[in-house]
Amino acid sequence: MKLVFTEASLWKEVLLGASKLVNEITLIAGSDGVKMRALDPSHVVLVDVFFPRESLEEYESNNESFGLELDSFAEIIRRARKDDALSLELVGDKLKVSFKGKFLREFYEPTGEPSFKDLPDPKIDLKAEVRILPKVLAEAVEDIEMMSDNLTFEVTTGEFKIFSESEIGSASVEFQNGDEGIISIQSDGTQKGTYGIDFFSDLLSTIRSAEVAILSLSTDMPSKLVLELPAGARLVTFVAPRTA
Amino acid sequence: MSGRSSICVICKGTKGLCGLRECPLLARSRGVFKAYSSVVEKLDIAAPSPPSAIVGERGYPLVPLIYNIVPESGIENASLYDNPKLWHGRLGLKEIVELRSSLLGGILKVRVSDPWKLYEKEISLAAVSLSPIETEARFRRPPTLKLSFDSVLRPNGLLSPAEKIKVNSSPKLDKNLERMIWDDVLAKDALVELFLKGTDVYLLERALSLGLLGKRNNKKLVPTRWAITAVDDTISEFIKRKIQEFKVINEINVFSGEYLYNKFVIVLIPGTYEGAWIEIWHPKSIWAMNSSEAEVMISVDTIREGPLPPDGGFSAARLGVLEYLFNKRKTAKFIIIREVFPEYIVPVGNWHIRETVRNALKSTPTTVADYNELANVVEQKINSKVGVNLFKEMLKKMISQKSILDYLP
Repeated sequence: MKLVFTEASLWKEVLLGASKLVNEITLIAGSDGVKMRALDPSHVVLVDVFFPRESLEEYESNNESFGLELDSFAEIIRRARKDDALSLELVGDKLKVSFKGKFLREFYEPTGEPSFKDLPDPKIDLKAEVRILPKVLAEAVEDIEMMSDNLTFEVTTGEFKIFSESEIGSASVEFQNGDEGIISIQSDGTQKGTYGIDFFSDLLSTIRSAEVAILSLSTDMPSKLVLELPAGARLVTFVAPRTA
Repeated sequence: MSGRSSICVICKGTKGLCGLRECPLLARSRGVFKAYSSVVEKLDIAAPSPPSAIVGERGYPLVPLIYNIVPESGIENASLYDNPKLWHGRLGLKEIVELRSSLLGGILKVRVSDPWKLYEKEISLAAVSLSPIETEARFRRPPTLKLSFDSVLRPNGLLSPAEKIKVNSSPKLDKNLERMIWDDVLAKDALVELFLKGTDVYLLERALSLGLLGKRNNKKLVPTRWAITAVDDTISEFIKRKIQEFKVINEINVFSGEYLYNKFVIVLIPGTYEGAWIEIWHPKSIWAMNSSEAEVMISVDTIREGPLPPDGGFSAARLGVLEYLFNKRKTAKFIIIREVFPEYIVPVGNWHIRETVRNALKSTPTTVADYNELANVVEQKINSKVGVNLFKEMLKKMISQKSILDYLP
C-alpha cells in the first residue's frame, strides 16, 4: 500500500480531532479511497473518516486494513507542516509516514489488528437534519459548553435549538431557516436528543476546518454529525444519547 | 485547620469534645516523650529502621530526606512501624498515632537530581529493604517535636538534622525491584512491570520516592506525597486501559467496609469504565470542624481523563477497585462513597483508604436486582441525606449514557 496526499495539513486537522475521541483506529485502503473507523473506549462515539481516491495524488492499494494507536500516530501527523505532502506506505508490519516539504522526513509506526474493520454503521432512522456552516455550529457549542457537561439538540420544522442546563444555569442558541449560517433545517415533527458535550467540544477545531456540517438526529437516538471537508474528505461521528 | 485547633484548644484532651475516650494528640505526645526520653542524653544512636524514609517537598529541588529509626524497638519488631498492611483492621487511630510517634527521623538535605549519593551510602537501598535495617545515626542536636499529620502521608515522629546515617546491615531487596534499578526503563513502565510481578505498592512508593526508578541518566528523588499518588495513578491508568478489553460485569454489586471511623460503600454497576468518588465529612470531622452540615466533595474519573478534580484519597480507593476488576478480568462503572465520622480527628494518610477498599472488595457483596433497589440499599448504608442524594444524581448520570453498540445492527 502506498498513498500520497498533497495536503498533509488536512490529515493533521482530521486526525488530531479524532485522536481526542478515540485511542485506536482501523485504516482500510479500499477501492474507492481510504477509510478510517474507530470506537471510543467508553463505546459512546463511533468515528468514521474518509478520503476519496480522487483526493490522493498516488494511490496503490490491495484492500489492506490494519490498526493504529491513534495517540502515537497523531503525534507523528502533528509534525506535518504547511505545504508538506504526506505519504503513507505499508512496509512489513510498519507504516512508513513521510512528509515531503523543503526536505524529506520519515517516521515508522507499528501497526496492529484492524479491530473495527467490520463494525457496521448504527441502524437508526434519523428524522431531523440541519445543514449549517461549521463555524456557526462551533460557536454555538462554545456558547453553551460553560453551563453543563450535556448538550441538547432540538429540531422542529424550520427551527434548530442547542441548549444546556444544570444547577449552575442554562444557555441556549436558537436558529431558524433563513438565519445566517443556516443552509437548511428539516424535521419530521419535533426531534430532541441529549449528548455529552465533550464529544462535540473536542472536535471544535476539526469542525472549523470543514466546509459544511450536517447534523442528523431523532429523539433519544444517536446523533450523526457529518463534516464535509476539503478535497471530498469526510469525518462522521455517531454519538450515543444520554436519556432520562 | 483553624477549626480543628479551636476545639482542641478548648478541650486540651480533657473534655472529650471530639467524642473519643482518649485524645490521639495526647497519645502522640506520649509516644514522642517515650522516644525523646531514650535519646535525649545522646546524639549518637544505633537503632533499627522499619525501614521508613520520606522525601519532603519543601525547598525543592533541595529537599529534606527523613530517614526514620525506632529507638524503642528491637530489630525483630521494627517493621511494624511502617507497614500499613499489618496495621489495617488491627490498630486503632490511637495505636497508629502512638506507633508513628515513636519514630525518630534524621533529616538529610538532598538534591533531587542526585539520588546516587544516597545509593552509594546504601541509604536508598536500605529504605526499600524487605526487612528492618540496623542503622547508626548521629544527630546535630536533640530532636524536636514536630506534629505532622497528613491526608496522604503517614504520621511522623521526632525530627532532628542528621550529621550522618550509617547503614549497618545488608538490605534485603525484592529481586524484581533490584533488577529494575539498573534497567534503563521509564519510571511509569517500571512501576507497571513491577506491579504485574506482584511488588507491593508501598514498596513501589518508596522506590520511586528514593529515585531508584526511571531512565538511568534521569533518575530523580520524588517527594513522597507525590510518589504515593503517582504510584496509585500510574498503575490505575494502566489497568483502566487494560480492562477495556474485558467483559462488562452482569450484576449490580454493593460492597462496604469501615475502619478508623471512615466508612466506604463501593457500588459496581454494568457498563464501560467510569468512576466517581463522593466524600462526606460529617460535622466535627477534621475538615468540617466548624460546619453544622456535612461537607461533601465529588471527583469523577472517565476513560478519557481523570480523576477530576485530583484527590489523593480517590486515587488510593480507585486503585483498590481497579485491582479488583483486573483480577476478575471484568470492567464496570463504579461509585465509591466515603463517609468520614467526627471521631476521625487526625488524618493518618491515605493508606487506610486503599486498604479498606481492598478489604471491602474481598467481602461478599450485596447483589441488587435494579437501580431502585440499589438506591434503597445505599440509603440504608449511608447516614447522610446529602450523600444519598449525590449518589442518586451520580448514578442517574452514569446510567443515562447509552452505548453506541446498542444501535448497531
